[in-house]
Amino acid sequence: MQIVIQNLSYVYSPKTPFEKVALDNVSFTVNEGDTLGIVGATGSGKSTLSRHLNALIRIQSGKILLGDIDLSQKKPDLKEVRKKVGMLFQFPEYQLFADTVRKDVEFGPKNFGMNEAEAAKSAAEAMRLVGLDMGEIGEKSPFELSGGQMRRVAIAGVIASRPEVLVLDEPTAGLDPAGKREILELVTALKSSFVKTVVIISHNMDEIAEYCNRVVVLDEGKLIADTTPAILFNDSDIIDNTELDYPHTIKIKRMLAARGFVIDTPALTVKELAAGVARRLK
Amino acid sequence: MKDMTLGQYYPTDSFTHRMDPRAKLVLVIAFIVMVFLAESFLSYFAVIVCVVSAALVSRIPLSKMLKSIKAIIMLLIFTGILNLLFYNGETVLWSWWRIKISVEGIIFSIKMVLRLVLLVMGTTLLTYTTTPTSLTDGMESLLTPLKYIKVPVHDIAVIMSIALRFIPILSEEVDKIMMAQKARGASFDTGGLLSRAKALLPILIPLFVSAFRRADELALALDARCYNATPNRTRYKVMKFGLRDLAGAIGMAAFIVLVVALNNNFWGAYETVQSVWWLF
Amino acid sequence: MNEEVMKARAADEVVIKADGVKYSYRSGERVSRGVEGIDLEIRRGEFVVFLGRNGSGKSTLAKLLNGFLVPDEGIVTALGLDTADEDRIYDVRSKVGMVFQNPDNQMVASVIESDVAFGPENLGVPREEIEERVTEALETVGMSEYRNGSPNKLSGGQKQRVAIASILAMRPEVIILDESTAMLDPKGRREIMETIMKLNREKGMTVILITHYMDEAIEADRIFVMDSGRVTAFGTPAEVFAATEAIAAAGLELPVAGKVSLELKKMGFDVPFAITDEDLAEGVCRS
Repeated sequence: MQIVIQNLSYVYSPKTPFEKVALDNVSFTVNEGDTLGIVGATGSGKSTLSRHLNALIRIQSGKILLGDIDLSQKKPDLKEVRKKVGMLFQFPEYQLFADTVRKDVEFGPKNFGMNEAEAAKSAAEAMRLVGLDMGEIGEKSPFELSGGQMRRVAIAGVIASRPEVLVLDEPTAGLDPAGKREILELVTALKSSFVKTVVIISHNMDEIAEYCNRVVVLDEGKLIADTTPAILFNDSDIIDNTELDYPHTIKIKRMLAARGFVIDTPALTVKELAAGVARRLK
Repeated sequence: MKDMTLGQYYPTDSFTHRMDPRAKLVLVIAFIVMVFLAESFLSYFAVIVCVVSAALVSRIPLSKMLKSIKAIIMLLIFTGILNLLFYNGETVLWSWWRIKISVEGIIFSIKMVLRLVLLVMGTTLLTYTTTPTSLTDGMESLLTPLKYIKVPVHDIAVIMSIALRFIPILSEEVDKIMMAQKARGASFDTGGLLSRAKALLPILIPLFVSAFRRADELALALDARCYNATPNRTRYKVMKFGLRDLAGAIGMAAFIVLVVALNNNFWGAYETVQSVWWLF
Repeated sequence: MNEEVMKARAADEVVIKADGVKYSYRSGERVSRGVEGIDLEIRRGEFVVFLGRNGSGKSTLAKLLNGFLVPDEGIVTALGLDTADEDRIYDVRSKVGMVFQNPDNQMVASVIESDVAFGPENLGVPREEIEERVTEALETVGMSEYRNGSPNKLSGGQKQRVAIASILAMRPEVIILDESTAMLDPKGRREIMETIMKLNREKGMTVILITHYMDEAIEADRIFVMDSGRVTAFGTPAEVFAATEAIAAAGLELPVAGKVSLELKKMGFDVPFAITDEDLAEGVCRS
């Protein structure tokens, strides 16, 4: 399923002294199979944009096409839209509510009309996909689990509805390095399941560089880049004009270049950078 | 979203805005007393003059003042009609079953409605011109004498201040949780009363969990700031009664005297005014 | 670095000392490990980082250092005071200030200056002096212009700077930041790191930062790596990250520069191990 965003604009509290433009004429397309990064400083409109993708925000002006569903029509089928586009909020473990893990993970599927047996099957599969076992912790309270486990249960709760597109808002926020790594590996692995397309909103440029094949940059509500991480970080000055950082690997590459040591690699990962340095040293 | 720590506060700079919150609190109480003292239409008229001049001095637009009445419009209609139909007056104009419309009833219900309108206008003037924070400070200061009968005045003030601080935070949190559950297909506006109430659980439980988590950290943060370290706590912000507050108090006193005077009877008051006039 | 700072450091005065400290959490029948066998000394003017995965005991240790928790066994001394001495607990807390993770959960007032004044008020500081302290604290964290504003409109980094100012207004000698950067965006984290460095380098404040961000840890004078409630490695950042196995065992990662130099070493290149981007670039260019 392709997502087409056309001339999307959004203003909070319009025509009041508190008026704030969150999105300003944003257009881009998310292709099936993409792992797309949305980056931008806090307040650049990333969250507003992502919440449009599953109709949590009503379109003010512009158009969004989810496959053949037009979100700008008067009454889009919200359930259908939200089933197709799963959305993981920041600190998703704070949205767990049920008395058992099983009930929490089955909440979504049941809302979307699956019967008991289907929901149970789907929830168990979702748990397996996030590396947990329903048989083992299904009857536990979600509040007894460790932080990392809670986050994975929350992810299971979203993918149990078998979305085609998964939108993740800062999925690694607040986790320690191992926890971050786990979640990112998990998201990558998910792409060989029913989840075809992943949209990641992140402040962490190292993650974007390593895991995304495409990236869009928002700045004060405007889309200022729609490209690949390799081009964004190596062949443009877009990052310099924002509050954003370069990935560490790129910083090192640039420092090397400043010392006359130029390497021919996009240097998006540690391995790529090391290999580039190695080629030059030989 | 509107910043709720400001509540109804109307941000401008005026005589009233600069008054000591304690003075305003006391004046509002005096005003309430005045409203209940008013009996004759002339007294009511004086109270109206009082409110309108206060609004002018506070630079609150008339539309804002009327907006506060809009909120209680149902209550006004209800009060008006009930009094109109069931007041036990003597000069009956029309009656049916237990319903009786009398001249006294008409007068009484007009007065009741006026009284409510005036009460609301007076108290909203307070909230329009005072931030909740300084209201809290003012209340704490006024209640200080209660300390001697072991009322934990300061703790109450801190609790109020924290509540004010957390209202916007928690309301944002509710928004976020609602969106997250909606994204999981939850709907909050369909079904019968019971199923709607049940649909609120996925919001309420995370909200309470979050509130407790926040409370835990807040408790530590209070300890880290040495809350209750000494009974001799000092205050950074000292409120001072000024000329402005004195002027407000004198103005209010004048209106109260006027209201009482006008209550007795119009001619009596007229004579009083006349005799005062002759003095000059 | 100014003279005063130099003097303080030269004196090598120990401000916090933990001696055989053990602590477990108890709720009903359940006992869960906090920390055990902790011995450490922190000197005046040091910038120390406690590094460890979630649940490694680093926050427990932090709370033991200012008397929020009292050790089951062993002694914690902060500025010469035993933290178990209940009569002096507020002296400990005002001298060893603590900033927490979520900036929203540590502000009590709806006006910034009132929030900063809250600590000194609680300590019974005279009014004129509070005024002075509030001004100074807000200036130190670069938030003076927001003095009369509401915290709700600030960014995460700004809120956390106000939280630091609120602690500074109590004039502490040590400041502990318990994962105070964890919830912030990169810009906010930068702001806090800059503030910490300023406090430490210019004002000679002893700073203890609990974090799991490697790029924050490499700025420290010393790092304590925590795992399973124990200190499993400590030393300068260069020393600690060179112990790559201990780092991996603690569930941590090397800074990116460290990973790259390790990778190069694996490929057989003689590049010196580096943990900062600059050092790596230098090392590569020289080899």
